[in-house]
Amino acid sequence: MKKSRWFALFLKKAVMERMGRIVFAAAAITVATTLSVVLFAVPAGISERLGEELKAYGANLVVVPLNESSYINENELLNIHKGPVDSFFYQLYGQANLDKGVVEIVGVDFSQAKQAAMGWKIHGRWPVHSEEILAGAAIKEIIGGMEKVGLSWEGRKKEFKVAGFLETGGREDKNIFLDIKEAQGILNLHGKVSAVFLRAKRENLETVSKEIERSMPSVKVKTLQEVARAEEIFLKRIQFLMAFVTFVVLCGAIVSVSSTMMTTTIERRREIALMKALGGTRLIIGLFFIAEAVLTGIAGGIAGFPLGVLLSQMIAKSSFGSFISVSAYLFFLSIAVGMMIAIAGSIIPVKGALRLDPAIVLRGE
Amino acid sequence: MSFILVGGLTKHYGTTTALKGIDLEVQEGEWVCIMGPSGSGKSTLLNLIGGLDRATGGRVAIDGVEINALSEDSLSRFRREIMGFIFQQSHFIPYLSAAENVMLAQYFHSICDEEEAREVLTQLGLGDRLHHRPSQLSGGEQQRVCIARAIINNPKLLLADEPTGNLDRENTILTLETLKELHKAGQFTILLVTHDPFVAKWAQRVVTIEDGRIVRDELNT
Repeated sequence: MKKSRWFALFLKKAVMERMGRIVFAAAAITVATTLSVVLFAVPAGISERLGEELKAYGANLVVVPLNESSYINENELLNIHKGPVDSFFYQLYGQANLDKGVVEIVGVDFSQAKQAAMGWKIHGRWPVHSEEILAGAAIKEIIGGMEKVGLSWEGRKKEFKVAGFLETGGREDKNIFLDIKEAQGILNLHGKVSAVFLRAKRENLETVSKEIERSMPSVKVKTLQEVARAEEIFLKRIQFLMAFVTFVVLCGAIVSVSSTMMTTTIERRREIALMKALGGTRLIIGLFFIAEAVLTGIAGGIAGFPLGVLLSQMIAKSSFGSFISVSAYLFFLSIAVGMMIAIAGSIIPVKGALRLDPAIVLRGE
Repeated sequence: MSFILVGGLTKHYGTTTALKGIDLEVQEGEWVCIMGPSGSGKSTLLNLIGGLDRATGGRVAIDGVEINALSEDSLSRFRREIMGFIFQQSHFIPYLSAAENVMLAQYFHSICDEEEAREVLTQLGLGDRLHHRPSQLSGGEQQRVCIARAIINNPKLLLADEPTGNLDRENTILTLETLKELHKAGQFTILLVTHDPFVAKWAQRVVTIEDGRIVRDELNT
């Protein structure tokens, strides 16, 4: 029989003999690996989702009137075109009546929007003329997938063809998007817009903001990045808190493994003494115990991963309203953390046990 | 040159002196019995010769190697190459079978040869007990497993500490017969500690210790 096979056999029998203790130690490790997975999965998943949301915006600056109840004159916006702006699109907000109630309408220039709002998910196609609209995904449920919808305002009514449905996961899903000229006509706001969404290079954001505010005194420029930054700061705080909790739980798990190993090594003093008497070196005997601990750590890591994923999804859903994607590499991280806890918790008890005097133990003292 | 050379060996446990300057020489292939009453220091002497314990003073040389000079791990390696132990209490790994317990000694020594372990156990009359756990064996059977484990690596020196201490007369004779046969065939040196004059009769030479000193050293006729 190969020595490695005998080692595996010995390990298996030793583990089976102390299954209760090993399950207890593995449970402590599982708690720690679960939290470790959450620690890495939640911030990574939320960051990824934030990135997706920013991408869905397609814009990183928004120009709005200083006075929230007023509008921006479309002709003033010509100045923006001259700056270092990658893309932009206007929006005009208002309300109209749908057959089944009031609906928020948004006037946009579809050719601009198509270019700028890269993250918009369209089921169908983009409108190609002013008689066509995009309906938000939530509107689809109201109109029941009809090809045409009737909008009415101030005693007038007009039918529009639904070219496609828009899905962003945000408030846009409840809006109807129509050509900005049509919206200006419906709302009687000719030549007016509510907001302009711009995309500029990160390094140009400040210059572009200042230039717009200088040339258009009646507007203010908001950086969407600021929102993202605020969320990042929030996220970092959560991450710090979770890191702290995880650290405490890791320490707890190490102490738990350590006390289990301490009990185990005390119980097995005669085995250790016998192995020493038979010529086992400290390294070889220590390997038996460390291997047992590593197996416990792997078991804890394997159990901790799905629990960590589950907890991460629960946290993400309850705190951020959406599920997150969890990277498969966290499975290996979970196992590595489990092994680390097991080894860290075993070193002191095993080292102590290996110092015992075989003559005294074998005499039964 | 003597196979075992002990000179001026002392051992203190705190304020208690267990050995008070022991001088002893044992030739290769001898069967020496160390006799003495309880607490005389005979087991201490055996543990010091076996390297299971460290002397306070004096020297122990086995096969030309000064074992006091060896580090703990070097001593472990030396032990597994040269010695086999039989204890009074049957010390086993409780969750391993009889054959696996014998193979544990092989594991530390060189290779795990299941066939060889089975052969030795069968020679000792345990062919039908190979896969039994120690707790499923009688006292005599357990002691024979201990003997199998002690001789499996063909040691030069067999150290036995009260190997029949827990056995009835029938099993004592069986164990001693086994040792006698192995000694004849194996050409190894036996150092056996006992307080039982009946056991001592089986040895070629009897060294009597009292109060940490050798008081008699005589050949059995």
